[in-house]
Parts: sequence; C-alpha cells; structure tokens
Amino acid sequence: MADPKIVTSVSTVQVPEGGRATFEVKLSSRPKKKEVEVKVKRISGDGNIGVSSGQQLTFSGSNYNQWKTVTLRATEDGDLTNGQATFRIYGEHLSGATLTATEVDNDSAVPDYQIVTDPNTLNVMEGGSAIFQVKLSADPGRAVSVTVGHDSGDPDLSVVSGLTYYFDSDNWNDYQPITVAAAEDGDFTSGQATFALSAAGTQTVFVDAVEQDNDNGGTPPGRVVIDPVSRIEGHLRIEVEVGNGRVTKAWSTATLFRGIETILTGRDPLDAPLITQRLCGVCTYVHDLASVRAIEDAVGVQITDNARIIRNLMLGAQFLHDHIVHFYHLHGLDWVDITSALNADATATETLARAISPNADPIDFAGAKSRLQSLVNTGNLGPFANGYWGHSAYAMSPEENLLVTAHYLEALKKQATAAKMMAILGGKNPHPQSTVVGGVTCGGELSADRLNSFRAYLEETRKFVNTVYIPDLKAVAAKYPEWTTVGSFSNFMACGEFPMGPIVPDDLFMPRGVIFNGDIFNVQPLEPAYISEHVARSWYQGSADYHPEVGETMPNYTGMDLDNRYSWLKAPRHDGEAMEVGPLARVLVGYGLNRPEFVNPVQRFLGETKLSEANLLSTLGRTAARGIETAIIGDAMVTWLDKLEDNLSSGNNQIYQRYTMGTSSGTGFLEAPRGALGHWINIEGSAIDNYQMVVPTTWNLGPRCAEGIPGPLEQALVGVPVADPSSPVEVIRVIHSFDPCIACGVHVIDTSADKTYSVKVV
Amino acid sequence: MTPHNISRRTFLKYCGSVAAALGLSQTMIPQIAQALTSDSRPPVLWLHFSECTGCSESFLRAADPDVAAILLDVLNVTYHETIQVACGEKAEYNRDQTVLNHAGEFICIAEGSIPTADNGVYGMVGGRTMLDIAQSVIPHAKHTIAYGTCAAFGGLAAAAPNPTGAKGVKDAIGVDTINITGCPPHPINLVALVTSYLLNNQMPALRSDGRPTFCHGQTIHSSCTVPHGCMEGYNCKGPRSYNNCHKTLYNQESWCVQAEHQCIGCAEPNFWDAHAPFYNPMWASMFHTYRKDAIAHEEQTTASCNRCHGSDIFEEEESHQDDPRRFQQAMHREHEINLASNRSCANCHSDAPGGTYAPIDD
Repeated sequence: MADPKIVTSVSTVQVPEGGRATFEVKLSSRPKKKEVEVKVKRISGDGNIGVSSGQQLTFSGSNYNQWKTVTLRATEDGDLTNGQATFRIYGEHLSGATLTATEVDNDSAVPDYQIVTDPNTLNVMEGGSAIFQVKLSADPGRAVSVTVGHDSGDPDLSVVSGLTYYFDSDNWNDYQPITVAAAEDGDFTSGQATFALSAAGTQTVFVDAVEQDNDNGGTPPGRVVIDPVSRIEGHLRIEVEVGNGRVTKAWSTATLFRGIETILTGRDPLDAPLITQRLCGVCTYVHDLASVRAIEDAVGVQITDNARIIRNLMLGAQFLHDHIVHFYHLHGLDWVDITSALNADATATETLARAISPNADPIDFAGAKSRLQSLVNTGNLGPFANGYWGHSAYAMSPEENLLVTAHYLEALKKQATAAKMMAILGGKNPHPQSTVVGGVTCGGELSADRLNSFRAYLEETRKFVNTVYIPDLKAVAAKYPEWTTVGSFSNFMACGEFPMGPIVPDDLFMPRGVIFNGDIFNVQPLEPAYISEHVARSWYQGSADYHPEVGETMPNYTGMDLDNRYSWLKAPRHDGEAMEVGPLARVLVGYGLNRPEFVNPVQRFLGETKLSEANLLSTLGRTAARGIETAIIGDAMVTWLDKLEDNLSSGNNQIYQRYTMGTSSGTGFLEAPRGALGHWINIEGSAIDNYQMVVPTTWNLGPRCAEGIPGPLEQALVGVPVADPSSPVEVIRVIHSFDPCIACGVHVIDTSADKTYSVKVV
Repeated sequence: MTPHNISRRTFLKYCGSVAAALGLSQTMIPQIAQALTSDSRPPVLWLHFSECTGCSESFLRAADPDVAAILLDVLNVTYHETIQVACGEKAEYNRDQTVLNHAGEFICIAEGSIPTADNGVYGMVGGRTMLDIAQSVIPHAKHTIAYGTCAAFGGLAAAAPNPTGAKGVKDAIGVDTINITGCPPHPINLVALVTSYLLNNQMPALRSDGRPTFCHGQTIHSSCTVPHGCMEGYNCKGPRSYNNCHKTLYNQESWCVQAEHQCIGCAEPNFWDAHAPFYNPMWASMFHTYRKDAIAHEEQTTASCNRCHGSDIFEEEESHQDDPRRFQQAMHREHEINLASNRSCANCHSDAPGGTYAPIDD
C-alpha cells in the first residue's frame, strides 16, 4: 500500500503583512503507524513569512481525515514588495506536500522607526525562563513606550519582566531585556505562544516563544540538561539537579554506540591496531599503541630500544598536542570571556603579557583584538555564537581575557606544529600508520634531516608550553580561587607510561599506582585483577559486573531512565571504587611516590600560585595537572630524542623484531592523555576471538554502578555552584576539566561470556 | 580583498595551494581570493554523527593560513560540536536558526556515518536520533559534503557485521552528497571544494561515487613517488586507491607510505572489509627481508620461510634474490596471477583452495 498523502486545503495562501492566514492539513488515507507526525517548515523564500502555529501536527488512525489548522504569519517588514515563501509539509512514511505563501505588503512608506527584537523566536525551558531584547531601529524623536503582551498560544508562557519600556532620543538604540517564563504544566507537548510588541506610530512586531516541555521523561523541576556538551570528542549528555544554587545530583550519559569490539571479532589480530585507532581521532595513536602492546604481550615479542623510543616520542607528541588543544580550544572559553576582550586595552595587555611571562614571543594583541572585532562586526560570531558571554561566573579582566584569547588563536597554529612531530615518525596525524606489532616501520625517516625537523617542532612546542601555556594557567588559577576547592574527587588510578626500558611497570617514566580517599602519600599498587565493569545502569543486557576479560555484554537500549539505565558507558571500578584517571591521577601518583620529575614542578606551581596540595583535588587542580605534565613530558622528550640519535649514530638502527603469531592472549596498558587505558585480546589460531577495551572516559564519565555509586564526574559535580540554571557554565567547567572523550567510551561490547584468561601486568 | 588580519602574502600563498589542489592555473589566484572573501559566503553546518572526530582534527591541521583564519575569516561555520562555544539548547538554537533562515542556501558538512538499526537509537544528540537530525537538516541544505570515508560510505562503524546498521549519509537518507574521503581526509580537499563552489557557483566534476575528480580522480600508484621505494609488494593498496595524499602530504610533512607503511586504501568504499587483512602473511615475511636494519634474511627461521622456498614462484624469480625488494614485488605480481588462476595456493595456504590466509604451523 502506498504511503498516505498529505493533503492541504489550498496550495497557495495570501498572508497580510503584520497579520496571519490559515490553511488546513489532513491525510489521504489511514497511516500505517498508530500516530504520525506532520511538520511544516519553510524551505525557501522570504524569511518574514513563518509558521505561527501548527508547525507540528499529530494524526492518528482515527482522525487522519480531519482537517487540522496551520497558521502562517508575515512579520512587518520595511520593503514595498509582496514577499513569497515555499513551505514543505512532510512526515515520515508520508507523501509530502508543498505550499506557496505570498505576503500582501502593507508598506506605503517607510515608518519613522520600528521595533527591533533579538531573537525573534525564543526557547523557554518548562519551569524556567529566557530573555529576548528590544530596541528601536531609529530615533523616535520623542518618548515612546513599547509594551509587550500575550498575543496568542499557550497561556503557560508569559512575560515576567520588561512589560513596558520607554525609549527616547538617548536610549532608542540600547537593547532592553524582556523575560519570558514557562510555567510547569502536566502535558507532554512543547507549547507555543506569540507575544506582540507595540508602540504608537509604528507597526506591531511579534516574537514566538516555544516551551521546552520537561514532562514524560523530560526534565523535572530544578533539573538542568546539557545535550550536546560541546568542545569534547563525541556525544555527551549531562543532567544535573540543582537546589539552593548548587548541584545536588548529576547523571552522565554517553549517547553514541558504535560496537567496535563486535567488528573486531574474527579479524586478523594485526588489523586490530588500525581499527582500534579509529575509536578516537582526538587522542589518536593511543589505541593503536595499546592494541599493538596487547598483541606483543600475547605473542611474547620484545621490541628494540629504537622502536620503544620512537613510540615514546610519538605518544609524547600526542600529549603535547592534546593538552594544548584542551586548555585553549576545549576548556579555555569556560574561563575566558571573549566578548570582554573587546573592551581590553591592547597596550595594557602587552604589559600584562610581559609581566607574567617575560620570555614569551611577542604577540600582536591589537591585531587579535581587531580580528575579533571584525568578526563581531560581521554580525555572525560563527563558532563563538551564543556562548555564556557576560555570565557572572567569568572573573577575568578585559586585558586578561584578550591575553588568553590571543593565545587561543596562537595555539591553533602551535597545535598544528605539535602534530607535525607525529607525522614525521607516523606518516600522518591524526591516525598515524607506522607502529606495527614487532616495532615500527619508519626506518627511512630517521635521517638527521628529519630528526632535526622533529627537534625544531619539539622546541617550538616546548617554548609555547613553558612561556605561554603554563603562565596562562597560573593567571587563570589566580582569578578563580574558588575553583581550587570545588569539582573534587578523591580516588585516582594511573597505569603509568613511557617505558624507559624493557621492564614494566618498573621502568615507567610516569609510575603506576592507585590512591584512595585523597591519601596522596599512600600510593597503592594497581591490581588489574580488581578491575570490574558494571552494567546495571547502562544500556546492556544483564546487571552483573565482570572483569573485562570475561564480560558478558549485549547492547539493549531501554530509553533514557535516570532511575534505571541511562548510558552507553559501562561503570568500571577498581576494587569496587570509582577511580579518576588522567593527568591529575598521573601527577599525584608520581608526586606521592616522590619522583623528582614530578615533585619539583608540582611544588614550583604550588609555590607560585600559593596553593596547597589539597587544592590539587579540584576542577582547577585537574586543569593544572594537565599543564604541569605537558611541561614534564616536553622536557623528557628532548632526552629521548638525544638517546635515539645516539643509538643511530652508534650504528644501532634496529626498529623491528620478528615473532610468531598463534593462539594466545595478552594485555596492553597505556596512559592516554585522558587517562589509563587497557586493551585485552584473545587470539585463536590467527583470528581475534575476543577483544576488550576499558578506556579513560569510561572510568571518568561512567554512570552509577550496581551499588548505586556515581562515577567520578557524577560525584565531582555535586556541590558545584550554579548561578543561573539556564546558563550552567560552572557545570561545563567541571565536565571539561575531565577532558571527556566519548567515542572511546562507547564501544565496549563482548559477545563471548565464558572465557577466562589470566591478567598480566605489562 | 584580504580577509581581516591575515597577511596578504600568506593569504595568496593559501589561494595558490587551493588552486594547485584544484588543478587550476595560478592565474586564477585573484578570482579565488575574491571568492573566499565574498560577502555572500553561505553558512556552514558541520554535523557529527557516528565518528571519531578524526576528520575534524585533520581539518584543524590545515595550514597556509591556519585553521583560525579558515574559521574566522573564510568559512562561516555556525555549528560544529568540537569547536563551538555554545552547548546544549544554545547550540541547537544556532543550528536550527541556520536551517530556518538559510534553507536552500547553507552548506552541510557531515562527519561520521549514521546509525540506522533499531530506529537509530545507537546515536543521539539532544534527545534526537542522528538519523532524525540528518533527515531534518540535510534535505534543506544547498549541498551536503560527506567529509571522510564514514560519512561517504559508512566507514568503520559499517564494517562487518555492522552492529548499529551504520550507513553513509546518502545511503541513510537518500540525499546526494559530495564525498571527500580518507581516514582522515585531507583538509585542503575540503577547502578546495568549497572554494571551487564559491568560484563557479556549482560543485566541481564528480565521479559516479560522488567523489570530486580533482582529488579522487586518479590512483595514488599512478603518480606515486615515495622516497623509500614502491611498496607494491607489501600489500599496498595504492594501486586501487583514488586519492591525492601523496601530493598534498598530511601535516605538510608526510603520508603513510613515506613512513614505510603500506597504504591501506582508507579512501575507498568498504575498505575495512574489502582490503583486510591489511598484513597478510606475505607482508610479515617481506618486511623481515626488506628492512636493512631488521634481522638478516639468512638468519631468519620463521614459519613463513617455506612460503617462498620450495615454491614455483621462488624458483622462477631466483634472479632477483639479491635485491629483496625487487624480488618481493615480483613475488607479489606472481601471487596475484596465482590467485587469479588458483595455482600453487597450497604452498602457502594449508587449506587451499579457498583462499584463506591461515599460516602453516611450524
């Protein structure tokens, strides 16, 4: 049977300018589904003609042949022409219809002034409020009052402040705020209302408000949902409950599942590094290397010294790149108000820059400011549009904001430089392609010329880290002292990284260990056998927790239900405890074990910022640890590169070690920029029988476990202040301090249930 | 006509590299500069579906000028989850306003494949399935560019057994896309495509699979000049891969074969299944013999030795034995011929005929 047709009462409609017109819609035959939705959308033409009500209509088997009304509206314009627009009326499994609307223009002459609003449509959370602005287009030459009233639609939407404003020759061009609130209702639909703004001597203008309904699985009172969370890798939804201005509960949800482990089963083990590398293009290389390590552990091959160093250099380059991008491009604008930078004095900013970092390369702050100003002048902020600009939680001065904003632009160049290091040894970034089981392939690229280029990029990147990134970090820390006490968590786990010799974990540059309850001088050994993954609150079948090697997991989406299952992430636990992984865990473990490479820079940072060790367990502590370890790794890379050149010049150019593939199993641990990562492989013959990954973001952003213990982010969010629930920039700060990487986290699936393997510490 | 605050010299250098990528004469540089700074540039919506963000990351590595200039001065990007400041409904507002106010005008860039199994529940943004978002946004775009192999052809998530029913954008929603492929694709190809569009007000010539001929018209092998020698004998997919990475160079530095890893053909449809396994048993044995710094050939005692010694191919190609790389290439060609005629397979494959690659046990 053919799809039902959407039938409209007319195919053309005339809409008076400033007024409304209606048409009717029904279906030609009974829809296959119990209920179908029909949407009306303008697809081309005059933007002044819009749908005022009936954007979305629901037809059922019983009322499909009853007409439903759609109202079109033509807002006042200043032109003298009859505008035209085409509307598409469509729905899933329905044959759509098209309708042409023509505005009947009413302008005989341009009025003296018009009422200007921004925006013209407004989303209002049910139970919350939203603001639009009003001003005049020209000097009215006298005092006029602009009043706003409820014109039509859902009565739950109402104006709560800014009902009347007076404009005159002095203030006609200053925007004034009007607040629209949406009262809680019991229905499940997103109500709409139109508000009319009128003044004597000019045309009335209309603003549409759409309530964002929170019933029927939506958001209860006091809840804030952030979805999508931007400036992260992947797809994340965060919901928090706010009471008395602070977060009281939080839920973290990963919203994408790719099933990579299912795809791996049955494939050639040697292909696994290439495939797992595509888990994440942000922290690229980490899965490639972890996978290679797992297979090397399985087949029992010991790689050469050169291969070890080359891999360390590539992974080190990844840390340098990733942390710079995180601080400036993913996290920086949570602390820095770009719009405030427009008010900065460029000369004063230069003085400030010299004061906080005398050795930094000079930057053209006036140029950066005028570049921002040009962007603002275009009227379109592009990726900066609609940020939480002007929020009371932003604390930096205009000059400080300009300083970091200029560095944001500079860092966009430096990150490309840092990536070149990986490209020299790996062929490309992201997704390098030179690390193979047994070693590395890039022997022909180890010439003096190429390694000199590598060193030059390394030195350029280190200079940026030491003279720009670290001083900026201190400047931010100084302005946000309260953020050194909130957003804390207290259990940490690091599997350690950068093997300096063949024995792991003894030879690791960044040591392995776990810390419980913030007891940072009591670092315990990491016990891989104590790791288990819970699925009781995740979209998988079953509710038992298993060690990653013996997991039993099948995807089973049951809808968003915070009281039950609510994420594609599993909840990994170490000895039953939620553990934070990442830069802070690594730095604290190194510090707690009294490693001088960590103790010295950490104490220097604490001394210069007048912070205590306890302050590190916080949102800013997490962000600071990321910067501190970037400098530590950058310094170490210089010595690694020296060693590689020494080896090569002494005639040792071995980069590959042979092995025999066969039935076996192995584990590969690795520290990704975002934290501890483990790959588990089981090989039968020459095919992958089972592949498991437990990734950093699962540790940090996982949901509650079977016992109801929230994950590290979910716990860290509790107590965080929220000044304005409609602009929860504070919540975003805590989320970003963990540097979420969701693509890594949402692939964990194991179809073989009855396998047991021994865990090896590599 | 230089955009704000990029030096004119840098900008023209950039226009020159765009012209080169498009195969245009350098005399076109003034027109390219004009197109890139025109006020009528359409807004760009960048949608993330089932992806790893590697395509966006690759885009961030653009140079001459850097990505800051592209984002702030050249493209008018109104929605991009990795870089935009706005989160949640504020971000969705930016996206929806672009669709509403620029229907039929904006350019959509899609990254990642679209999960379609179980009504698309495996990928959600803002409470809506990616499938629903794609269906509500993409049909209103003037053009949609599928950036990367996943968005174009399904890519990794669509590899067998494709647990989430992932599809390329065109297959998922039935709208024609312009496909720039690679894992990741090269950013200059995207910028060149957009520039070409601004220049001519139409998209450049496309192959039947939707890929522009300027970057995907010829195989890598047909013009490959790697410094360390051809890797055809190393299961290299360069001869079957239509891409220009060897000319554009990733990060202005290198590409896979220059790092002496064979091409895996990451720009091709279905390459995760069609080209796998990427390292067949021949690869490992060849790698041992070729690497001057690896274990010497005569010292090797691996299970793969008898794949060559004692085989017809080996005897026939004895003349090349002192030149391992040439020998391996000859062997590779022989292998292809043998594969076609199903000849001598049992020398290497224990359960031949049938073509599996199970190695022989010692």
